Amino acid sequence: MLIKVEHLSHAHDGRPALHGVGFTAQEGERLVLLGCNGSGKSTLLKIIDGLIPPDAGVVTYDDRPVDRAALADRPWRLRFRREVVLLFQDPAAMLFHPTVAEEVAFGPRQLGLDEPEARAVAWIERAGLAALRDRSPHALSRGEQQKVALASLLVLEPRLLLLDEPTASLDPRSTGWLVDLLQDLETTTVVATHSLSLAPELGSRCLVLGEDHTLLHDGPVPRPDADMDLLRRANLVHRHRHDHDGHVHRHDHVHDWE
Amino acid sequence: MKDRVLLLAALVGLGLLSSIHAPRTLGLALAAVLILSGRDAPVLLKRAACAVLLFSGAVSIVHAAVVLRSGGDPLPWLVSTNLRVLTMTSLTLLVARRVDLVQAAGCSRPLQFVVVLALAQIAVLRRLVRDFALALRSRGVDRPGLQTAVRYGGAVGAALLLKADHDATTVTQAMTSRGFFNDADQG
Ligand SMILES: Nc1ncnc2c1ncn2[C@@H]1O[C@H](COP(=O)(O)OP(=O)(O)OP(=O)(O)O)[C@@H](O)[C@H]1O
Ligand SMILES: [Mg+2]
Repeated sequence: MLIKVEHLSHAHDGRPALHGVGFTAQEGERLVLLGCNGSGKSTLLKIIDGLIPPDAGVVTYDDRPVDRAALADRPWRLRFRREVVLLFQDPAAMLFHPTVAEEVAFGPRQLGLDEPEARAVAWIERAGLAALRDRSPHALSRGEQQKVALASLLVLEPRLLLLDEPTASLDPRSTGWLVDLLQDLETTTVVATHSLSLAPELGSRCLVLGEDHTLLHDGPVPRPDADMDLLRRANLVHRHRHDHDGHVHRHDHVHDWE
Repeated sequence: MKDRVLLLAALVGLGLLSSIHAPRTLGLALAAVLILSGRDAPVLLKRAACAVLLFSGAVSIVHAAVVLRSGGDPLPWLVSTNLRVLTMTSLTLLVARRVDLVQAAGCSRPLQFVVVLALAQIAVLRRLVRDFALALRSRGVDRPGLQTAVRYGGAVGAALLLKADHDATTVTQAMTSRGFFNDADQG
């Protein structure tokens, strides 16, 4: 088992963000984390990445709890940072180098992989970012920033990839590029999204966080035709008003489902 | 190399300026800065004046009131202080334009990170201010009344503070996650 999350609860300044969340993931599994705005997706990913210590509960990575002691253990921490990476919801937060090339080479250099520059060049090519190589990451569009941030994580060839709404700023072609890229990887992934239509492409198993910050569902990706009840409880559907020939009627509607 | 020398010269200049009190010398220094700025001089002077108005305007008013009440002449202090601040601000703006700070900080990686981070923050905040202005424009307020302007200014200021604070936390988390505090070759 690669990750085990048990009874996780957390509040930001007294405002609840997660409540009693638990699940496990095997090596190689692809999980989608679905939930409405404010349900706690980003918080959960940051806790798994060891960035926020939870108020209660434990995250275990590769049989060792990700706690203060583990993170203080230098060799383990180095391994953890090399193997577990997080794409932030706001990719700009991750970019702090003068050029894209240096940005991508940072992780491998910092975490002691050999030939960081060569790895960076290879991943910049693979991610189709060659034209942006010498540009400043901060002058790029949000979608471009997202790709650069992703390349600077994939270059580490991580074992666990945590992605916080990776398609939020991508156009359809770039979204396709990302989906293909993820499907080619063997890496264990947890992808947060509120796009129901994209969820089946991002993973085979789905965790749904509710508005009350609890885990509502752990299983197959919900379908609007069969799982309306769950989707309604998770606040992922919208009550829609229609006007047909003078008759106004309302029904539930999943907005991004094509 | 060139950037580092320029930055150093400017820092020395700023140090000297802070110890000069004679209005005539300060006036000459301002003229020198403006001559060095060449074509940029008018823009630079305008920006510096705006910045000075914002920060030392209030101080000047209070100082003048206090001195006047005690029967003194506030003019010499007001002239030399405001002239000094104006000159120093112009010089700083000139440096920001002419010196590539990232290059100038190239001697030390940590320093360079700090500079890039600071510039990135400035870029993000500037973008936010521009977005605010665009949002205001798109909402059809051509010439906002005083009340709208005050509310808008307050909202922009508050948003900037919140964002700067939130960004600082998130950026630190992002840097931790990417192993910034984890040099492989140390220890
Ligand atoms: N830094 C913070 N300070 C205070 N409250 C926070 C902070 N970060 C998150 N919260 C709150 O915690 C709750 C969960 O937030 P989180 O960002 O994890 O949600 P999310 O599911 O990622 O939402 P979104 O879809 O909007 O990204 C929300 O109520 C949010 O307001
Ligand atoms: Mg989020």
